[in-house]
Amino acid sequence: MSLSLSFDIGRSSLSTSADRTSVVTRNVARADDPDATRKSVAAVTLYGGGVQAGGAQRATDSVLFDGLLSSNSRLGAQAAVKAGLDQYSTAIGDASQERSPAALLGKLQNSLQALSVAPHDTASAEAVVNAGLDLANQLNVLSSTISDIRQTADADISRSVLSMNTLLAEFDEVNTSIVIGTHSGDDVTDQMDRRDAILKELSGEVEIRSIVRENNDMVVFASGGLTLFERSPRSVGFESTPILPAGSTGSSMFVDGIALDAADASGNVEGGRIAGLLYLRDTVAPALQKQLDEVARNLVQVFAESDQSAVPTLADQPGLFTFAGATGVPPANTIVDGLASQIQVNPNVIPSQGGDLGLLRDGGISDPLNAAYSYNLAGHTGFNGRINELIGGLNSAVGFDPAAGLGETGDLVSYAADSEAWLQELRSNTTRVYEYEAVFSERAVEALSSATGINIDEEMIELLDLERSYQASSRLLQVLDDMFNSLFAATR
Amino acid sequence: MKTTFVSTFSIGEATRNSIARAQTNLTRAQTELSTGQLQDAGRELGATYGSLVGFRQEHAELGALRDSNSQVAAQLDVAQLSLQSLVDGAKDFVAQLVGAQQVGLEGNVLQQLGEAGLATLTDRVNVQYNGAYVFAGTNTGAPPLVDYFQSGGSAAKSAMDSAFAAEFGFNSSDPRVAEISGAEMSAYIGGSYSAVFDDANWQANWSSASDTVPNLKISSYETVRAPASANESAFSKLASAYAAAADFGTENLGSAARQVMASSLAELASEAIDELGALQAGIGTSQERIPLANDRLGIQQSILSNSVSELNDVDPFEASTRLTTLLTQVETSYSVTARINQMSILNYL
Amino acid sequence: MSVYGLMRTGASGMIAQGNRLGAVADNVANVNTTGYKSASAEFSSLVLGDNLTEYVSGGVETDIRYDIVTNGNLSSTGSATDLAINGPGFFLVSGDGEEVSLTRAGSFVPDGDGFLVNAAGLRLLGYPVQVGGNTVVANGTAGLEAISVKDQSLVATPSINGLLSVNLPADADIVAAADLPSTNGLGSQYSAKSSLVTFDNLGNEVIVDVYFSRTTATDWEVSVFESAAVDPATVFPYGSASLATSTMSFDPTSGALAAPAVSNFTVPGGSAFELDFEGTTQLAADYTVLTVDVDGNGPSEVANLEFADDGFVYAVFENGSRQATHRIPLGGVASPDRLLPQAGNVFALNSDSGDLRVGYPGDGGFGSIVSSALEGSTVDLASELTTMIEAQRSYTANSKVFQTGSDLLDVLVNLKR
Repeated sequence: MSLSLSFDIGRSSLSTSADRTSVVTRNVARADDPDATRKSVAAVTLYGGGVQAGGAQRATDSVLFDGLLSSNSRLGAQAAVKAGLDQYSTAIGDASQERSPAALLGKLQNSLQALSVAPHDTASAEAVVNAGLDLANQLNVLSSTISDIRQTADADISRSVLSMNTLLAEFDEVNTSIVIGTHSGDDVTDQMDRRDAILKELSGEVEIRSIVRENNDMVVFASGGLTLFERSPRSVGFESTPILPAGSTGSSMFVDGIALDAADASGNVEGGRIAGLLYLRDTVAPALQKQLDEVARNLVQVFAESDQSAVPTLADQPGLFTFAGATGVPPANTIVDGLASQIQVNPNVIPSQGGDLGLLRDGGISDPLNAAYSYNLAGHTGFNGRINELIGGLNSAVGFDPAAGLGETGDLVSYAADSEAWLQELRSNTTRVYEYEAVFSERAVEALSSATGINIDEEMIELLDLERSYQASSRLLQVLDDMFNSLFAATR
Repeated sequence: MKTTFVSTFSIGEATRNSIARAQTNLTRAQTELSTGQLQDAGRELGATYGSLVGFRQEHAELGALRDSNSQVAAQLDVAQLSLQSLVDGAKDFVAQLVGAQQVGLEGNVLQQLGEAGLATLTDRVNVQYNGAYVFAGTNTGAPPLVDYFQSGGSAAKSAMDSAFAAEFGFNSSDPRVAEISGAEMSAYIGGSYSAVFDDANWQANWSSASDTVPNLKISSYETVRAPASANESAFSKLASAYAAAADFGTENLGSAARQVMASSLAELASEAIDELGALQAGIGTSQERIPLANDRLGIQQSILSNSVSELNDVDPFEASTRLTTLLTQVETSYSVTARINQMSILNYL
Repeated sequence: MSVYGLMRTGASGMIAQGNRLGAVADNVANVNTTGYKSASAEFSSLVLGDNLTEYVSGGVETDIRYDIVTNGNLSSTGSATDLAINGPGFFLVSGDGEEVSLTRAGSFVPDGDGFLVNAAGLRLLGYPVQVGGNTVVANGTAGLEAISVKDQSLVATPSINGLLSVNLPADADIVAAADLPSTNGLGSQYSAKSSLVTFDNLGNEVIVDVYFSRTTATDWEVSVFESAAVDPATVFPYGSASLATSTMSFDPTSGALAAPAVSNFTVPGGSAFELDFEGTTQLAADYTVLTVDVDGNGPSEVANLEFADDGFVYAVFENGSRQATHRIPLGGVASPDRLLPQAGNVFALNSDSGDLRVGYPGDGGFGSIVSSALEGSTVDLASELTTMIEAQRSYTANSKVFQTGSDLLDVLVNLKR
């Protein structure tokens, strides 16, 4: 061991301290960045003594990180579904506001009840027409809310896909620099932080899984094994459908040429915001629309008028409730797509549109000039047979299309209430899962950050440590210098 | 190397999250405390929300029935009063006839009684409630009984006249009526005169009411009949008694015929009183059912109200306790956050 | 004893100490020279007479030694092309067209022509990597060439081998024979799909789509298509027929592959490619890609060089792939200390050192290569300074001897006066 060697070692100790200090500085600077991981530099002993700062290492915890990614995905999906359901629920309003189809149907029924004991009473008849207008209007509004939800979801998917493509392009860049850097032993920890951050963002959009290959090269798959990135980003495609009328289907989102499934085999929504939006657009909203359409169709049916001749020959015609371009009553037990958006009160009973309120009692709303549809040919103002029939119709079992998912028979009012219960159950479940996932996600972020993140106090302590080591090395060099000085003094 | 178990970011995030969550719960608890109801019933109840909607709807339906029942009850009350007044009038008429018979039916007493009775009958039968004629069956838009004395003559009057003329060969105003014997009069009133008031002629000439009496719903499965139609024989009998007295019970009539008439009409009126009584009894039964139905509706409504509150209401004590707890929690979080933020090794270096 | 002899002996001592001081001066001057080996002067006595009656003073002979075997201290640097040897070997370097020399000074940098040159301008030699491995001429320099980073630019390697191991869902529906992707008919059905990036001969990325379709409970059909030929609207049919169709079957009890499964096809525009499905399973889980790896790379500039401790030089391309281009051999001789130092920190072979032996780093007796490090000089300043003081004193002593001889002669000359 020579004095020169001691000089070298002292120098290497100083430079190592400087390297490690720079890492501490980097850590402190990014202490509040949730994507930052703690970097550390290990001191490596060199051949023949001396010390060198090894490559920077980042603290990682792949289990926690994967947990965070999947929690992120589930949260994204639930948030998307929840937002849609909340929007629809707001359009319906609280039960106490009585704006739901069920409540409005009840109001219609109650106004009919009032009319049935005073069939001559114009005010009561007007109340019925107003209740009908309210109901038809609310069905239209809800129907357009559903279209709105679907179109918004569609536009959101389009935006998400755009951002995914951007993220994948950036991923490509970062991944390549990581691979090159890893080859040549450069410090790639910051790039890896960035790559993890991109993965976090991607996981919000779709459920992802990643494999790390040689040289930190990463392969990313979406749910169902669809390739998102393998050496190069795969195409993520989606064609937005700006207008989505009831009964129409939106286009699928394609990853690497395969449509992304929004739901798993048991019908539960997959992870990721896009899956949630697809589920909302293609499963939840259409189901709500179908239920509304069934309410509307049976409303038309219950209020339909039949040929009252001794020998009926004419087909039934829509009565109080009709729809644009109606040529008859829609067939039983079959959904008419979008009927809820077209249903309206027949202008023939609306006084402001030249209608006659009396038709409500007498029948013949469909065609006031055709006596065959009149239930009260004598024109008696006290006639309440038709009104009682309508009340009965509202309370008796009618058929529903099982495709709407709410059973095949039942009375209209209960059906509307069931539809609301269906919605609220879904909403309640989704909200519960969402809140659980939100807490889980917070915990995952905290747990990951605790495992891999930066604690300023710890960095400060490390800094103290480094300061001491630097001081000691400097002191050592000074002593060596003194020794040489005495040697030089001897040669003088 | 990793030695600590918590990162600086994680400390800040944890306190931020806990404060945010407590604040969300705080606003919810506050709304629930002030309204006494769940802030978001749909989310809390889930599938049970359907029951809430159902209960509310049923409650409203029962309320609507109670409202309409009060109308039905009032309508029945009006009918009952009218019938009572008709019965009273008819009884008076009979008493007058019987009394007058004993002192001798002088002058136009009979006619006056008849005219007065007919006017009362028309008035009482044409009674209205809420703009609808109570005894009109379904044809509530038109007065059920014609005004017998209307200017220009009524169909009823001409029917009476033509029947009289067909029987005796002259008009009731003809002086020849004095020649009608008691037997002839008895035969007329007991025979072809009653045909003038048979159902077909009554509906053609006297009544515009419809035979159909509407059923009125008073609870989910109960109905009561609306007040009797003016086409009931009680009304036509009474009308026939009054009309005969008014139309040909004049002073011109022979006294024998008058006597016969008085007793026949008293008999007719008595029959009418009996039948009116039966109608009254029918209406009375209905009247009785309405408060019973209302009571039941009321009980059902209160049960439903209870169910609605059970689902939808928040226990104010619980909500207030929750609010207090949350406030404490938020305050604690604030002070903890403040202290954590002050705590740094930098302060000691 | 002759006075002249005495003076000659003193002079030879002064010359010897002068040599020693020269070595010290050289050492001190090269205290920071990479790969410098300290020199030292060894003395041997020169005896002239052998009669016992008279002392015939001889002299001292200087033998300059170089301590080449001792390794200097390694210090780390930031440059990947700074190389050091941890062990007894030497780098083989040569000037343009000159003879091969040995050196341990590894501070190489690429020159304008892409050759790696050290501080003295000598080029690092290596064997170009050939398919099938290189044969080292153990005692010669045949086949060695100067390592250049320049000619590595824009190299494309076609894909030859690939590995794709997946889990195929055990609950997948069976696809009817008429609907299999291999029929390439409209609306073909499949159970799962993945795509891989392969490279053709020109380095183009060729994405191939791999379809897995279940045919029976345990059998799957694997069809590979060129992704570019896909029908944009309906996927199937592809514009060109399937590149390869093979089947794989699974053990119904373990869900593992019953027999090795590979798919052989020619990458469009590329070379024959073997895609191995080793490790593929059929278990009751979703379709999951477990491993995917394809060799080959597209053309790209060399981003930097990487030196492995076994001597391989890898060109790292901008697309992240790397390729071994050369292998650095190490040289050795029987007696390294007898090598002849020459300008530029190189050592020339000579008859004393023994013949050149050439081997690879990691082989016995050669040591291994350390990248981003340099070997320091073996000079220890403190010992040089002490040697210097010692030499100075010895020189003074010799001069005193010479002076004494001179004084004696003076006395002798004055006798005659």
